[in-house]
Amino acid sequence: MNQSNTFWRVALLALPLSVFALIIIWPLLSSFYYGFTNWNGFSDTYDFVGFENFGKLFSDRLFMSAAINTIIWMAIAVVLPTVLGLSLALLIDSHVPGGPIFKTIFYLPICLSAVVVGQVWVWIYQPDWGLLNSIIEYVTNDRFNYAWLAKPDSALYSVIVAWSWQATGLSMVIYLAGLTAIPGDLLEVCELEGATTWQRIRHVILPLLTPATVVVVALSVINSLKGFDILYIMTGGGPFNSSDTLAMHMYNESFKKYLMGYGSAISVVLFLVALTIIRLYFKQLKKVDEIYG
Amino acid sequence: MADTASLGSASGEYVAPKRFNPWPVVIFICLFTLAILFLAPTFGVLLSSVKTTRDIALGDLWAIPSSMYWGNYIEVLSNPAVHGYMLNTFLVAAPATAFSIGLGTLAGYVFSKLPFKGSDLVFLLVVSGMFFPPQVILIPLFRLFNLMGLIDTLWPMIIVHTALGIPICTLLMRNFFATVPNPLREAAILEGANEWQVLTKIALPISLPAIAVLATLQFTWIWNDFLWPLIFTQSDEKRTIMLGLVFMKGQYSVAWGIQGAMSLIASLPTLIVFLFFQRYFIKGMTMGAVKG
Amino acid sequence: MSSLSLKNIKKSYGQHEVIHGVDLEVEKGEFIVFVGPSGCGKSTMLRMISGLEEVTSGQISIADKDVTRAHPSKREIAMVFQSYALFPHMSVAENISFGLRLGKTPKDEVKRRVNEVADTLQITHLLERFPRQLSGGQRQRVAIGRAIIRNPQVFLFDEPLSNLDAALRVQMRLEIARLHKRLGATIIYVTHDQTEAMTLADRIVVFNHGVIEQVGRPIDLYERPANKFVAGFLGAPSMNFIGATAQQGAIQLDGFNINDAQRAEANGAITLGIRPEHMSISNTEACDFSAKVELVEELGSESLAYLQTSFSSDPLTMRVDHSITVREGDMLPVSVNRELLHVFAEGGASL
Ligand SMILES: Nc1ncnc2c1ncn2[C@@H]1O[C@H](COP(=O)(O)OP(=O)(O)OP(=O)(O)O)[C@@H](O)[C@H]1O
Ligand SMILES: [Mg+2]
Repeated sequence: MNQSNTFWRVALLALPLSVFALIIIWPLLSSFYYGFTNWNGFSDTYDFVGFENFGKLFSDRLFMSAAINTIIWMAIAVVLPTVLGLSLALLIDSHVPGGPIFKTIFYLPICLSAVVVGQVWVWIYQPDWGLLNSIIEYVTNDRFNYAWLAKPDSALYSVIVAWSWQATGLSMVIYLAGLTAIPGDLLEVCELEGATTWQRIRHVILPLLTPATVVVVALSVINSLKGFDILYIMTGGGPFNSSDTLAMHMYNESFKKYLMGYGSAISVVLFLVALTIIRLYFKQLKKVDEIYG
Repeated sequence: MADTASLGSASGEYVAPKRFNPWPVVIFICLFTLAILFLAPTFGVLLSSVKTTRDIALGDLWAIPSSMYWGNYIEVLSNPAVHGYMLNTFLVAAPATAFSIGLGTLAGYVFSKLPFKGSDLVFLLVVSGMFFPPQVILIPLFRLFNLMGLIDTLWPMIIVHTALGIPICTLLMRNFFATVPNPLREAAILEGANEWQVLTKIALPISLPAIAVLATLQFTWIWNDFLWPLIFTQSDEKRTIMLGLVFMKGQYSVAWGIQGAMSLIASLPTLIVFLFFQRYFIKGMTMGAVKG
Repeated sequence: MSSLSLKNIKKSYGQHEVIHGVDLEVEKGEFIVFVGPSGCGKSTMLRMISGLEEVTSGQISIADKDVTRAHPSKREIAMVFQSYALFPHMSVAENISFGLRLGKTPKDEVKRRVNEVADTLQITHLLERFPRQLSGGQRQRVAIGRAIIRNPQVFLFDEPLSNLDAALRVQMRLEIARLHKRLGATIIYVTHDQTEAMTLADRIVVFNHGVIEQVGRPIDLYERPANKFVAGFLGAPSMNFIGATAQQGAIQLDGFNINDAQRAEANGAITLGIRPEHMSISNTEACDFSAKVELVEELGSESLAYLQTSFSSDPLTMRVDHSITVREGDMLPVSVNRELLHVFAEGGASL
């Protein structure tokens, strides 16, 4: 029995694990390796340059601004989809008529590709006939043609709003799943104790939603690190690299300037950031699991 | 007692004092407004696709059209490049979806029914793969497929999406197999089944809902992907639809109506999958997220 | 010819040994029942016989063949699980014939044997249904059907009736007994239910902490338990134990003296065991001791009286016929059937 179990373990795991190792693990490790070279993407030869690439990061003004933009993106990602998703979930969970339809509407953007979402939002921000400026013109009754995506001050934030539009649906359904998991008798107890709706939300529902919040916040942060497609479509990191993120900067250095060695160094940084977040996430999950079962 | 009560209410003499509760109405109006705001972007594409570029440029995009203009769709659908994009995307998405589910099923079965010393750690390692930004494996994979001479074919995309799907598929399948009671496996083994037969004849048939969940998720993600085709394709013949969308934007640079029609057509497969399998979709998203 | 033989079976999970050397010989056609407190290793033992768990050491033979390292499917055993373990996506007929079909048995042969088994179990009309369309008792029958179709040497049952309600349990118990007679099969049966154990078993095996405490016919275990554990485990309500000291068989308690010449070896600290059914209310002159009724539980056909005595800190349980009215607070004269007293030495062994 033991021998046959071992045989089947090996037989069944061989293919998935070797594909995973070859396409995910091995490239991950070799990214570190390429980070120490000056490979240019074409030539068969390259040199070891030691820590040069990593040293260069600190003097690279664009890298620094990309890092700051990434942090801004993460910070907004923690707040915007989370708060919006939670509010929507609470509203929908109140047995409002048409709840399932609302749920579908808020969730719908998730099935659209970032390319399409990006394009749609380019139109929203379009200076002449975009929806945003049209509304502002309608309200102020004055000519308004601010180019949201073409101004360094607003480009990054405009993209993040578009991204959040798509990310909110996921937060909402995770919160909704969390809400349905709250035992009904707990809420009945609140009612018997005469708690107001606000007290009930504040003191019972929100604490019980902690596991969902951990998941939502972590996923938002992790997904914000992955945000590339939508940025590529909407601004391409511009104008003047003002909306660059680490992922974008890495792509530009590697596939536009063909500095693959330097690009690898950036991807190593990206990996370390992601690793830190994921470890924090798993740790929080474990903690939450111990308290909330 | 009951008689008098029902008599009383029937004749309208006694009406329970019912206070008007404004909250449902307020909530409904809130949600309704938000829903309109949320739908506006999607609706905008829909509107643009049935308007002429001239109308849009004149600032009429957001008005309900008085008459439908189908020219944009005709233009897009008669473009042979679009056919090629769609076909390529399908040729990537279908096999990659199937392969990743297949591999995830194998791994998920072992992790749930044949655990071994350290299997939790291996499982965690595999699952954490789904959280990393793809940029961290971009360059080595580019070099790998370049050396193999596979750049500008569909193969790299199929292979990479298969591999990238393994974490989520393994996670979901393991969690689903965990709900298949162990005595089922043991009963089958006592009857003479080997693990492969247990998997294919018992565990998999019971787990069809999980397969449906994964199929919807994987197909959507792969269909919508942009980064990998961007890296791995060069010629127009090998482009996938999302890439094609971006490149055709240059071709129809201010033809917004055509761009709108193109976006819609490109999103149609995933929209259909979403609307028909929404339940599975949501389940997969939350399962993948919560247990991650 | 022995149908199943266990020789010095041990089982460890990691460092933790849960079965400490079990020996057992089972004759062909015997109905063996495993009982014991929760966690004592009954299921583990059964699963080792089936091959689902490996033994750490020891030897298992089935029909005189050593199967210690054999694959479960090669052991000629069949197992019925507590949860029935029916395949939810297969019809009853497909469930029953699963093993045969895996073995590529010809179709008409499969069909014939399925019908035979269905006939035996009276489930012919259910063959096309799916498990979720069946009641608990019907599912149990299907599970048994899946076991008997393979004509195994040994049937293993792990608490097969514990998911059924009381009435159905009695009915299925009778059917299992009937089936055993008809098939003449060797059965190993795990249960928590005393009545099941007493009525079904040819021999009962009492487990405790991974060892066998005693093996024997049900009535022997009841009348002559080997030790205090078996005495307390079998019989409901369980035996009353009273700590005492003895001198050459003379046991002195506060207000209750026993002189037992047969147990002259009883010396020092001993435990006296009295079954609730071996106490009765007598008249004041002939009584052994008097006790105050602390609590009465009326069960209908009988009542249980819990008695406070001067010689036992725990109340003693006594069975009382329902025709006799006992009230809480009564002082009762109680006599004990001295023939049926049990005395246990300090280590627990019967004297
Ligand atoms: N896979 C395992 N790993 C570690 N310990 C185990 C395992 N399976 C069982 N045990 C331990 O072995 C002992 C015997 O368990 P077993 O299930 O055989 O008890 P049981 O007599 O069947 O109990 P019950 O009457 O509750 O079914 C228990 O202490 C249990 O904790
Ligand atoms: Mg058990």
